Formats: sequence, structure tokens, C-alpha cells
Amino acid sequence: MATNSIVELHEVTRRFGAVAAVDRLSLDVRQGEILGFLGTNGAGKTTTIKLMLGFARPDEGTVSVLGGAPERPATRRRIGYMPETAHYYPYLDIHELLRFYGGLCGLDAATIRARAARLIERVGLADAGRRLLRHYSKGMLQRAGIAQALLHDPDLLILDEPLTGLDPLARIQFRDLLLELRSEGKTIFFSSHELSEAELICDRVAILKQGAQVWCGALRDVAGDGRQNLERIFLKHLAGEVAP
Amino acid sequence: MRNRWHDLLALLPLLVVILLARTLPVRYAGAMPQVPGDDILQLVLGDARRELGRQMLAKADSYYHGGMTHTDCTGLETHDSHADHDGQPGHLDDDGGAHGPHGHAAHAGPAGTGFPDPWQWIDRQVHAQPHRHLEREALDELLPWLWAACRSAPDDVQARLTAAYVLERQTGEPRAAIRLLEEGLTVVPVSPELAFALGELHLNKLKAAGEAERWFERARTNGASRAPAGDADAQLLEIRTLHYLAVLARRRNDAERLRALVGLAEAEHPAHALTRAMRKLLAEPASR
Amino acid sequence: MIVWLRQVRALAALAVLELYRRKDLVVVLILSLLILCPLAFFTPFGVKGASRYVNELAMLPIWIFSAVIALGVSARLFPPEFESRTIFPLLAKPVDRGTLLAGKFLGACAASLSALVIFYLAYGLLTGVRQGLWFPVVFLQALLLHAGFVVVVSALGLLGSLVLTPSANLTICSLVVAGMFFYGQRLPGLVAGQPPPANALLGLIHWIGPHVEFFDLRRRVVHEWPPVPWRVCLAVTAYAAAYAIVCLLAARSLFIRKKI
Repeated sequence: MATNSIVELHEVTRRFGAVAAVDRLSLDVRQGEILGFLGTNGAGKTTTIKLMLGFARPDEGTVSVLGGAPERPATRRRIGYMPETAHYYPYLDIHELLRFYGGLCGLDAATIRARAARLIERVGLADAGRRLLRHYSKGMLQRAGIAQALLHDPDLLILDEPLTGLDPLARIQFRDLLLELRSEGKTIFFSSHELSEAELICDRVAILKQGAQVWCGALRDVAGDGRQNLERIFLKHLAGEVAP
Repeated sequence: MRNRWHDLLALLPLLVVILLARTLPVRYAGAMPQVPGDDILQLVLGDARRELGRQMLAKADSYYHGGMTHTDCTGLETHDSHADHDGQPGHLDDDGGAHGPHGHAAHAGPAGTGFPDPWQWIDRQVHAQPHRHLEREALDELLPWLWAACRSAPDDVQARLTAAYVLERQTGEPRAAIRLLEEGLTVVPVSPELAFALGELHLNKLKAAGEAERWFERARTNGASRAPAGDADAQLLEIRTLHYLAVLARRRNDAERLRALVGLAEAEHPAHALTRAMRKLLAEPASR
Repeated sequence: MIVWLRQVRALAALAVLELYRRKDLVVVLILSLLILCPLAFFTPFGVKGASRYVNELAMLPIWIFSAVIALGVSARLFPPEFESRTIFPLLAKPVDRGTLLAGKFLGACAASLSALVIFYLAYGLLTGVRQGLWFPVVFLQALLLHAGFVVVVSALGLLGSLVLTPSANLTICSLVVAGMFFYGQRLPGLVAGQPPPANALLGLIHWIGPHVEFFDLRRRVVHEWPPVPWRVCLAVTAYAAAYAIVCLLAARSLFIRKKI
């Protein structure tokens, strides 16, 4: 593990009955980087994220996030999480949603108001006005998701499939946003199926197969044409032709 | 865009239902389960309306006792009906205070186990009440429930009698009560109680002796089949009817009629106080 | 402490907002008016003046609807969060599960109590205008104790929402509440009259069941009985608080162990 790791998973295993959803996974996320967490459906990406957030405890191994246990409120105060499925309270509008989450983070009303206004503008929801969330499109809900994840100015962002449901323009905007956040010093960990997006913004990529990490490396170390090489690496490791 | 055919499709079954509702009773008049002339309550409730009527009457009774029922207060345990109060001094004029003259026992609650039960203590404090009666001025609070009792079970004689009593007492107008009782007689024409009550109203409130006598005669005729059967209430009603008829006969100076009535009373109720009263009437000289 | 208060307030506000945005309260208010307005103009045998029956019939939907709202709000506290997965961004925030539970519970109580106050206000205005009785002491006591009822029912609903589906929770809680309401007073008598083991079971129900009948002052209000001694009010309120706390502690224990 690198000395500037803020997330460290060491030999973590999580089982559901006889099936190991995460199998002796060792992974670290370094300060200020964007780490892409790739894998097919059922590879264990969401379970890994749940372990990182303290929603579940590992059966074996240790999880350390920002130097502490992830289930501690003090740790979670520095984490921003965007879930895979963008479901929020359908009877609220975006202002009320952010006010709610801001309250949960212990922010005072003035801070919430100021930050919410900036974030709503930043994620492109200013035109939504007082529309209730149940009338939002999927893309709009994803934007609301990123807004609530950023509200309390976290150091670490954990995003589960953040690009799902976004149109091409929204994806570009989202990419730019993540790059901006990285330049502000934030660390970003996101899971995705989108190899092309991962190539464009990630510093490092980890590939998960059946709960185990099969490859992890910096994209700048991938030689030749990046697109084909990452795809090749992804397919080869999933097919098992190359040893981890 | 709404498809107008959908609206039509929804309308069609409705029209069919209305058509069937109109034609079936006519086409199968003799075979329909409902009795012609049944109102909506009878159709919906059937025989349950009698029980509903009883519940409404019980509700009126609880209102009279300040919302209490017999199961709520041991002070009411010895009372089966308000008839138990008849003759008790001061009862009818009870202005709603705690029922002191009758010395009802304080609410004791169910037998304890010896172990202090805080729940029972709370329950007794919150719910248990001394026995009380509704003030006379507030008796019209019973009317909605009595109305419901009469409406639910038109053949419930007790409901009609109670309703007529309260109605007359509250409005001071006996004709509304008379209408109510006469209505009852159309449903239960053989009721001696209804006829008797009509006789009392005509005599005591309208001072219509002739009409009263007609009703008392009807009461006697209606009750004739029940009294010899050993029904104590019916026998009491019979002697009271005979007494009223005797008083009316005395007023008319109809000695022969009076003698006949006294004879009837002596035959059926020789030791009754009212029979003695009737003998006294017979012994009195005729009034001018 | 300030942070904790902000968190609880945010959670509570959510429940209140949901009740009013879902318009459940508007529906029950309209239903109540539809039931009561014809009654208010009813003149049995053509005689005006009877009012207690209107008061009693007004109190009945207040009790029914307050129970429905309290159970409906509390039963929906957690299952929709798990079904729609909004529990994940919720638990990802720096709020521990105990605080989450407390905030949800207070929100359910606040929502249900706000509806209760509206009902009682309407009732108080009705009796004030019709009978000249303006918020007598016994009426205020009835409101206080009814609030205790709402708190107990909300706690039961919350506890059930962690282990049951909303419909199962509503059914079971409704049966428990209705059963205790109608038979709670008679339990000691039933215990004395039944052979073992029925008497043991009934005794257990008597001791641990929620005695919601303690909170019912309708008879006193409708029939203008004197108020309950204040020490009794205090005892009943303490009972409501204690029962709710026990339910909340049990809920907390379940929630902390619940696998997400």
C-alpha cells in the first residue's frame, strides 16, 4: 500500500452463504487520485463499496477509510457517496433534498443554502426550479445524486456507476466535474462498466472478477493505443489468460 | 388523448345494470327474495336491524347514565331497566347528581389478585365514574339514539315507548309522541303497551277521556292473550288498564261498567292494590 | 449536541413533509367533514338541541383517523427506504443508526400530532360555536392523553417497520391497538375467570400489552364529566413515554443488527 493511501482494504472477504462476493481483496485508494473500479455485473463492486462505507462488515480482513473505521460518523463526515440507483424522496424538490442531507451532515441553514445554490448551478439543475424529484428524468436524478454527495464538501467521493443514465452531453459535463474536483484535491473512487470513460479520467484502474482483484495499474503505464490496451487488459483478465 | 369508445364501454355496463334493476323485480315479482315494500335498511340489514335497534336503545340508556353502561359501573349492576326506578322517591326528579338516595356502591372493580396492579389503578382513575342521570333539561340528548332505534327496528315497542316519553317530556307537545306511538301500532297492531301509552297520553295530557277510553279498551283486548299465560309484565299492564277504565267509568257515572271492571279485576288480581282502589271507586257515591 | 439536533430536526421534518405532501391528511379531513356536516343539521323527531351525539360521532373519526395516520406514517418509516434504496445515501451520512431512529420516530410523532391538533381544534371550535363550551379543561386533558396514544402507536409502528412489510405491520398493529382498546379494561376480569394456561397468556397481555384505553377520555368530554386528576394525567403520560422508550430501545437493537 502507498503511504498516501486514504482507503485501504487488506485481504477483505465478504461471503453470502457459500459464495464469496468479495474474495481476499486488497486495494488502496491514494490521496488526490481518481480510481476506476471496473468489473462485470456481479463481480462484487457494489459489495466492496458497501464495505468501504461501513454498510457491511468484512468476514475477514480489514477496511480503513481516512484513517478510521468507515462506520464511524466522523469518518463518514468526510465521505460523499452517490449510490448506483438514483432513488431519492419523490415528494421533495432539489432544494428540500439538499436541505435534508445538509441537516444530516450537521450543517447550519445558512451554509446549506449557500452550498446548495452553488451545487444546483454546478450540476446543471438550476432550471428544475421547484419541480418534485418524482418528475425528474434519470439523468436529472444522477445530477441530484452528485449534488447531495458534494454538499458537505467531503474529502473522498465514492460513486457507484455514476454515468448510468446520462446522455453524452451530460457525460462530458460529469467528466469535467470529476476532473475539477480532483484538481480541488478531492479523491474519487468510482465503479463503472464504461471503459472509455475510465480511460479518459482515471489515474488508476482496478479490475474485479468474481470478488477478487485481477489487475490494478496506472493508465499511464499502459503502452500503445490506450483504448485498445485497456479493453484488451480487461477482456484478457476476465477470460483468465493473463495471471494477475 | 382519451378514446371516446372507452367511455362508451364504461357506460354500457352501467346501463345494463340499471335496466336489469328495473326489469327483474317486475319480471320475477313472485320469486324475488325481498318482501315487497321492504325499505333499504331491511334489504341491507335483514334481521340484523333488530339488533341494531337494541344497540341504539342501549346507547340511549348509556347517554341517560352519563355515557356509562352496566358493565362500566358496579353502581348499575342492580338495575336491569329504568322500570327498576319506578316508585323510588326522588328518582324521576334527580337533577343529575350522583345517585345518592339509592346508595350505590362505589366502583370496586374486578377482584384483585393481591398484587398491586398499577394498570387497574390508572384504568379506574381514568374511566370509572359514579352513577348519574342526565338532567331533565338535557333529556333531548337521548332523542337521536331513540330516533335511530325506532328507525332501525320499527317493531321495537320499548324503543317507541321511551322515545315517546322523552319526546313528550322535552317538547311539552304530546301530539308528536302520539304520532310516534300510532306509527308503532301500524307495525305492531297487537301491542298492548303502545295502546296503553296512547291512552295515558290522551287522558293525562290532552284530557280526551273518550279517546283515552278507546285506547285502554284496545290495550285490554291486545293484552288478553298474554296475561293469562303468566307474563308478569302483561298482568301488571292488565290491572293498570282495568284501573284506568274504572276511573273513566266512574267519571261517566257508568256504575254497571264499573262493576264489570271490578269483577274482572277481582277475578284475575284479587289482592292487587289497584283492585282495592277499584273497589273504593265502586263504593264512592256517583258524582253530580 | 447542536449537530445531533440538526440531524434529528432534518429527519423529523422529512416525515412531516411527507404526510402533508401525500395529502393523506386532506383526505381524512374531507371525509370527516362529509360524515359530520349532515349530522350537525340532523333534527331527530324535528327537535333541535341534541349535541352530544354529534360530539361523540365527531370524536369517533378523530380517534380512528389519528390511529390510521399514526400507524400509516410510522409503518412507512423504513420499508420504503429499503425498497427504494434511499437507505444507502442516508446511512452514508455522518449519522448513527440510533440518531436515525430517533429522528424518524420524532418525525412520525410530529406529523401525527400535527394532524391530531388540527382535528381537536376543529372539534373545539365546533363545540364552542354550538354549545358555548370553549376548550374546557377536560378537553385539553383529552388532547394531552390522545397525544400519548399517538406516541405509543407511532412507536409500535416504528418497531414493526423494521421487521415487517408495511401491510403486515399495519394489520398487526391495528389488531393489537383495536384489541387492547376494546378489551384492555376487561383483561383482569378475564384473567380471573380463565383456567391456566389461558389466564397466564391473558395476564402477560395485560402486563405488556399497550393499554391504549388509558388515553381515551371521550366519555368525559362528550358527557361533560369532571376532568381527571392531574396526577393521573401525569401517570398516563409517563406510561406513554415509558412504553414508547421500550419500543424504541427494541427498535434500536434490531436496527443496529439489521443487514443492509
